[in-house]
Amino acid sequence: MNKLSAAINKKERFRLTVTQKRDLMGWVFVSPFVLGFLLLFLGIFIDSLRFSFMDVNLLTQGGFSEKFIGLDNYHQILRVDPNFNKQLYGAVQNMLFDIPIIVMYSLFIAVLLNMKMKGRGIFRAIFFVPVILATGIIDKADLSNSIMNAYQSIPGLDTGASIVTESAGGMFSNLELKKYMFQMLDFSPALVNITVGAAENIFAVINSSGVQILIFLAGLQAISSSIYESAKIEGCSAWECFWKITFPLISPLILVNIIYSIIDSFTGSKNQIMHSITNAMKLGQYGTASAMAWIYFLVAAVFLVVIGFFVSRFVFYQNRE
Amino acid sequence: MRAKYLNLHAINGLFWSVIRYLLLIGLAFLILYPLLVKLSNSFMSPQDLIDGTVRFIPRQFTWFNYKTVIEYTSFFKGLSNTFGISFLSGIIQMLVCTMVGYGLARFNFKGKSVIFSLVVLTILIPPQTYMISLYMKFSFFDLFGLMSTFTGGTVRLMDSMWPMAILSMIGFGFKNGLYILIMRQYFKGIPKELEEAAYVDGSGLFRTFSMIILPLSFSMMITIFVFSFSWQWTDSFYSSMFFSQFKLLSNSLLVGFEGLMLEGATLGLKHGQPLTATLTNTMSLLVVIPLIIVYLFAQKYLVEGIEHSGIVG
Repeated sequence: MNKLSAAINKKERFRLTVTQKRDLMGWVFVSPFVLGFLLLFLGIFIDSLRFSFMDVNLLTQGGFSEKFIGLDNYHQILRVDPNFNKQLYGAVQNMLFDIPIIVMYSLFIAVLLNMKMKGRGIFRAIFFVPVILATGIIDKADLSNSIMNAYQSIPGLDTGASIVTESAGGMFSNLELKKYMFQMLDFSPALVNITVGAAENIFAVINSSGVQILIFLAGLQAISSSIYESAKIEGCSAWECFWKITFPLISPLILVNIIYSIIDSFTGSKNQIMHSITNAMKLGQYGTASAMAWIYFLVAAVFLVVIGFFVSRFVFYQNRE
Repeated sequence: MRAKYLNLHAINGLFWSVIRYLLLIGLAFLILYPLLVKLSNSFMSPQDLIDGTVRFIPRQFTWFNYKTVIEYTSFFKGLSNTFGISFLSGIIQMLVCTMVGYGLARFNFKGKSVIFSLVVLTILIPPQTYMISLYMKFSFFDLFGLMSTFTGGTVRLMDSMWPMAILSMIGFGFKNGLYILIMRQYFKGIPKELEEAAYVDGSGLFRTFSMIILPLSFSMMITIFVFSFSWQWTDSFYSSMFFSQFKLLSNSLLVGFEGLMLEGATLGLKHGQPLTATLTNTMSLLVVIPLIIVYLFAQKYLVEGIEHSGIVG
């Protein structure tokens, strides 16, 4: 009996088609990631999930103690903490509002930068600057600068203060500083927010679309110009060319950029919830921080899956599968 | 009639190119403005900085800020270290992500969708949440407990290039999941016929990958390299975690100049204290400028897309 099934198995395996055999090679290609996931990330991932159900305390002699407290962390965040729900709602709202703007803007700019014109290289270099700034390190330096200046400007630097402050972060750091101060002094930031918000949003869109522009640019490079040539011969206008050729061919990367924008908006350095998580970490509340991160992660994942699902129906792949 | 049409055409073209330039210049100005202010600021002497009448063009041009910053942060050491680490992880991440992306785009093995969702998951989880675990992993580095059985202890990998190299190799460097995602989508967009033609001609899987796919995706790979290089360059998360002794530019920038005292630079602040904000500005510039130069070089290859790879057309 056993022998028979083994023989059948063997036959079955023998019957693998060429494509199926080839598909098994896929594992070779993804193996670095899979190995890394099993060796490193899985443990970290499980730890983080475990921490969210525990009261974790760092011990002075190194290492940490943990105590199981069930859903208390989650209860604390969702029911007791007055800010978290509000921040979560705000984060989702921002994300939904910003993503269409960012993706359209970056596609538009990428198409512009892909055209033949003088000084293209310089413009591309300039539009690359936001990619560098996207990690937030310059922002961080500027913020500490603004605070420093607020201190330094107190004794008799009235004339210079504004200039130095301005130089700290450019156009908007004045407003940033005011906002910061108002929040520190417990002023309602609502009024400040409205004025700052209008000006800042343009700036925010520009600064958070550097990556997307570069991805689109590389994608546009890959579209063969022979397609455009033959379309032109057929009498295709620039407008038609864009919608009938560029748009479908770039659509896989539109999906990437939407996914990236969602993730960036959720996990970016400007996000308030990320601040709460980092702060909780700094205060040593690892349990609370992990729980926050998990709630946040699940919310982000839901949006990612829903939006990704709908968008991917409109993505055009050249391969018929 | 024909001349008139051509004329209209030319005017139309001119009109659009003017609009295009206006738009691009306007946006470029918005992007560059903070950097320009920093630039003019960095050449100003302390007298200029507190003088309200001096704007943008320094009255007393000085290299003082640059000299101080370069000396205080041992800039060139930090520069070479940062360059080394960024280059290393850029290259490794580029290769690994291309491979994994290809694997996800072109093969229909079982469990592919699971692996794909895991990739997205790794980008989605805020790195702050696994900071402690990651730190522990690399402070007491071990492979399945193999090392402690043979050499009798774990290895401390802090302040070496190993953590970044290992993380890059297994696809968990800074935003690595994103690169895999980009490559996967990119490969999905490339027509399969190219590879099929190669198979028909008797080329094997790996040969096809290296001879057809890699040249084809050169511009995308350079993009990935540029991303990972510049993000590693300005990363403060991993670098402050792994490198406390090792000099890196991002760490020097974030530590700042607050405690710095200088002879003869007093300005009615604390005694002997320079205007630290200006120094931080100068340092930000010094961090950003090498990246822009690298980008200008890489750009040359970015522009050469599929046309120059000699496969299509």
